[in-house]
Amino acid sequence: MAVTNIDPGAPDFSPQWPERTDLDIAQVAFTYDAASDTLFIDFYGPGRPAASVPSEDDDRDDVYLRVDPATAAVVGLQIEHFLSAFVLDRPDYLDALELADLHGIPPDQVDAIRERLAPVRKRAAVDAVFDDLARMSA
Amino acid sequence: MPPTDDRPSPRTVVVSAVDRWGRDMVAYLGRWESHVEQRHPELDEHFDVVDLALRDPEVITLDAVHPNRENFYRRGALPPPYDRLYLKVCMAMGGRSPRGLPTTGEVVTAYPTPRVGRGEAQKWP
Repeated sequence: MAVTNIDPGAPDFSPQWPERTDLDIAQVAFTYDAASDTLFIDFYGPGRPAASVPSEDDDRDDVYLRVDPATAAVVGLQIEHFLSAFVLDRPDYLDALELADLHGIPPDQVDAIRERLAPVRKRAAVDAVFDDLARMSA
Repeated sequence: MPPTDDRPSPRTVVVSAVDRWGRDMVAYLGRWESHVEQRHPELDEHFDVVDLALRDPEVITLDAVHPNRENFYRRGALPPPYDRLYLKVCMAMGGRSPRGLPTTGEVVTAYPTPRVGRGEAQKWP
């Protein structure tokens, strides 16, 4: 049985996303943790205290917004089941590992995963060509 | 004489609890320092709240993807401003027990969150 019970007393964070143009790209940090299979994307550098608020558009709660409870500002993202499930649906996100500080996974293992997902990524690239470029020339 | 290293071992147990089924649940210092403190500093040194969630959870679920993982949820464990949220403690089950018990779980991660995860199957109650 699946459970989704929400505590009625839990605060409504109404997360506030930053303006992407306001982000200092030098502060944005990608970190992958193999033991928890989680990709963290920190908008203001790593290590800010926050609540992990699941994205409403996510059937499996893979994507959590890291929300500052004092300001409701989204300070980053926490993507669970990253290599086990998330990138299978969104293979483009595999590129994030090239930018990431890798914890507990050697680069050659990342290469092996990339190779394994190559057909999925190729399919996505072909879909993009048909969705975007073919429409332009129609 | 070689210099001695006084740093505690990463395998030092910082949380040790027995869950409702008598399973040995632990958090190791190495995982706590390298992950929980770094990635979830809102937990700081709240070993006690992780211990509470493992001993006396409100909900236990099976992870939506990883078959060897169980998630323990407990509200009101963390101090404000996280006190109305669940503390979610994610355990990898089946590791080696420091006390030699047949079944054990090891803390993988822990964080405050407003609800039980969608896609997780309820194990208890």
